[in-house]
Amino acid sequence: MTTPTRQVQNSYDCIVIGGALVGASVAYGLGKAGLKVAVLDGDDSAFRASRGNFGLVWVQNKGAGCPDYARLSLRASRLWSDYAEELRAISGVDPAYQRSGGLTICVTADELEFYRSLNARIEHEVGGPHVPAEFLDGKALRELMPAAAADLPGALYSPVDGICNPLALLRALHEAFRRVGVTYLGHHNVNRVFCRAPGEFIVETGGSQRCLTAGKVVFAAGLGNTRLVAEVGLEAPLTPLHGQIVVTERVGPFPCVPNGMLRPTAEGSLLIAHSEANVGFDTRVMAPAACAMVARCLRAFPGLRHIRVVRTWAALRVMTPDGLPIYDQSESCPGAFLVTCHSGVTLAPFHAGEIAGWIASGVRPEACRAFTADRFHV
Amino acid sequence: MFERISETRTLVTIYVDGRPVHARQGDTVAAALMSLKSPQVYRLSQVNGRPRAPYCMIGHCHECLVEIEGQANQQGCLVEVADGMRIRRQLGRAEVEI
Repeated sequence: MTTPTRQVQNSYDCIVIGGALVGASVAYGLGKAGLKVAVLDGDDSAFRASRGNFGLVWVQNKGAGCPDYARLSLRASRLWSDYAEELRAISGVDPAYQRSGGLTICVTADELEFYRSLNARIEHEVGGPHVPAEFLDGKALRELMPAAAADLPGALYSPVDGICNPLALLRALHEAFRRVGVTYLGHHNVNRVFCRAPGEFIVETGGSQRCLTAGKVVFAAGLGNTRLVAEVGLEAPLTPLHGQIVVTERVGPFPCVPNGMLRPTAEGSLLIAHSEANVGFDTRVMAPAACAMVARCLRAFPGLRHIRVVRTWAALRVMTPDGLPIYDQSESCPGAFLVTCHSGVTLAPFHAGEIAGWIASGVRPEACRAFTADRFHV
Repeated sequence: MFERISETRTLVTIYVDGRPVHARQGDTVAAALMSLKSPQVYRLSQVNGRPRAPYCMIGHCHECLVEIEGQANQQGCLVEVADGMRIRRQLGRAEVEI
């Protein structure tokens, strides 16, 4: 009897660096397209924006100054219902998507004016009817959310906005990509990627499979992209933007249309957002900012003052200089792709669909032509 | 399910769903409830209605939620019993009014 030797398989059609929402979405799409794919994921030291986010599937207020981004967000949101159902069917995990509609709640008249003109500007720049974001006065707002304070000036409402459970989405994606044959390699921090010959990439990792080769490589490592991509001729000028979420105890029935400061969960907790701070690579909770965002939420929903907080966390958003995604392929090393964005939830169906299709076929989708990194040099 | 080892601490009376029962001074609410023969069910999940019981007993897991003195969603493992304390089990969704 011969001893079976374990064949270590370390050559792939495509290696996706990053196993969070962006990487997992792309990997799922590539697996569906029949490619032999490995996902390299980091360890618990990774920053993991995908595990800290609020879970909005959001269109309103997005894309001022970049109509392509407004269109892209709307397009992705329209794909979400089918996408959620597809993921649920293949993975058995329900990402709990609801096209609930969404509000931008304004606590001052100035804010309301700002968001009204912002949405008017976006609609004008898109060049036609875009998101039908509708102005609600205080009374109309309270019809949707009876808990809103009586003296709020109003809100904007868009029926295309919604929510999902972002942790369930991540779980569903991981299960889904396994089902289409994608190999997952956790604890594989990537040290270096280089192009040995045209169409032959070497990925050096700190994991058990130290060196892997692939015909294509996708950088989807969030903030971790920046240090890796230069060697293959890409550019990822990404910075962390600190944000926090406060979670309340589970409450009884509470009519809540998701908005930027408050959303319900299927389990009964309420999540309170949002804060922004430039503090570098620091994921500690910052109490003053958390208190300020809760105070703002209580200004809008005074009845919540009796509800208790059970936990608070912070995470780092992945931000480009203009806040828009980067979808790029290297010119010097074709086959090296960069896929990075702040809105990994909203854009998930687009990443699994057209972005994966681009990586598989080489044909760049029209929808992402505005999002190469060379825009930072004009 | 749980048996007390020989015990000399002072007895106190607490009320569980209105029924007077004994606990020992220094017990947490979670420990006191789990030492009872009845009721068997500590709580029912707010999410799926299934029976749940304290798990970590150190304040992390939130499996021991219980109403104490009218305040719902208390972590039973973090609160000491007191003589006369009124406790209600949460059988399903907590009725926290907004």
